[in-house]
Amino acid sequence: MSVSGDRARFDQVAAVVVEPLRRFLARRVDQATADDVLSETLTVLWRRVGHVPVGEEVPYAIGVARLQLRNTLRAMRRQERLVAKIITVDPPPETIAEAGSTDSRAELVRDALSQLRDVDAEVLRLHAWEELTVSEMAEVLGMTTNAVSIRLHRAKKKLADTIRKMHAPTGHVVVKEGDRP
Amino acid sequence: MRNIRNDGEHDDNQVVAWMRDADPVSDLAPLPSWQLERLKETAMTTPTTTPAPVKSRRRLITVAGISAAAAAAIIGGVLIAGPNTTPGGGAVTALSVPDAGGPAAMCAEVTPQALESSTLAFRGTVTSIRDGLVTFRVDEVFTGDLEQAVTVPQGDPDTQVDGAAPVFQDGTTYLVSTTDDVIRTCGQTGEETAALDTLYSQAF
Repeated sequence: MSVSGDRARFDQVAAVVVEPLRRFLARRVDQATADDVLSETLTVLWRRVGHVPVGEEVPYAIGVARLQLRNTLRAMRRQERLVAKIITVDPPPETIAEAGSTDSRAELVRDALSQLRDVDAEVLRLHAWEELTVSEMAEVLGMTTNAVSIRLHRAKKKLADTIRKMHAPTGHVVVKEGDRP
Repeated sequence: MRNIRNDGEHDDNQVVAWMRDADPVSDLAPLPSWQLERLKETAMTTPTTTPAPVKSRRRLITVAGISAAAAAAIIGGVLIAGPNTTPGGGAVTALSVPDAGGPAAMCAEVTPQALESSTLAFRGTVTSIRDGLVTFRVDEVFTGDLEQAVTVPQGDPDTQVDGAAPVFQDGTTYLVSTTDDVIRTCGQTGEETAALDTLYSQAF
């Protein structure tokens, strides 16, 4: 593709993916990290502009952002380990602590989500928040569509179970036999 | 968009509805267009982060390649880079393996310092082995610029001498490092073990 063709395609891709990418990142990390990873992701998309599949720009971009984010988080953890050796640091901030919602059910759902295994939570987020189809998730996660379907089904069950366990319907704590002191 | 399942499970729909209500960024304001323009400019002017090839390492492989050429010819292990797509059709990083190995090649101890100079390094799980081509799902990228799937030619199980291309098993997770797009052998690429994992975390 010519340079001007690349440029035109990149304009097109960036326009389609930028908001989904910003939401994807804001759901997972703090603002500063999200800004960095957004910039890195666009850099990768520019370099691979000829490979971005037409009609599947968003899942492709989310796949790129997901790997960039993992790199960044890994580097941050390494940095934190280094700093922790020298001084005492505050625990890392909750990634979605700034959500600003006081809705207790939403809090409960997010709490429950954080208790699931990473891969289960991610499948749920990609499905419910990024609104990706099973085949799009398969592309993003590098799994088969069949594996994603099964994983999604189980993750929904696990989240429902976790919420049920955490949520005592009439405000009292559920006590099983033998739990009393 | 939402044709995920149609089995009408009330519980499933309820969970997705709860999740949607719990979306932390339902009210994110769109990025002003001037900021998007600036981001695009940055993207197009940022130099590639992939480090330059390590020259000394490259030479070493070439020398080993020559010394092993005769052995390779006898064994007939023809190792070439795979096609640029997966059976599923997604984007793929195609890697190759060195023409090294054989009686003349000798491996040094794997150290974090040696791993640090890798062009690419990742944790990946083998999802298929077909027609001599191993496909990896990339689980974690330590360094370099990779697609979500990677292909590598399968090693020859009868040629497991120092420096020979690794033989991968389906479903197993590996730690893989490369020089340019050539897989590093000599234990720098190997099954994910506690020992190798420690070396990788020290290097990256």
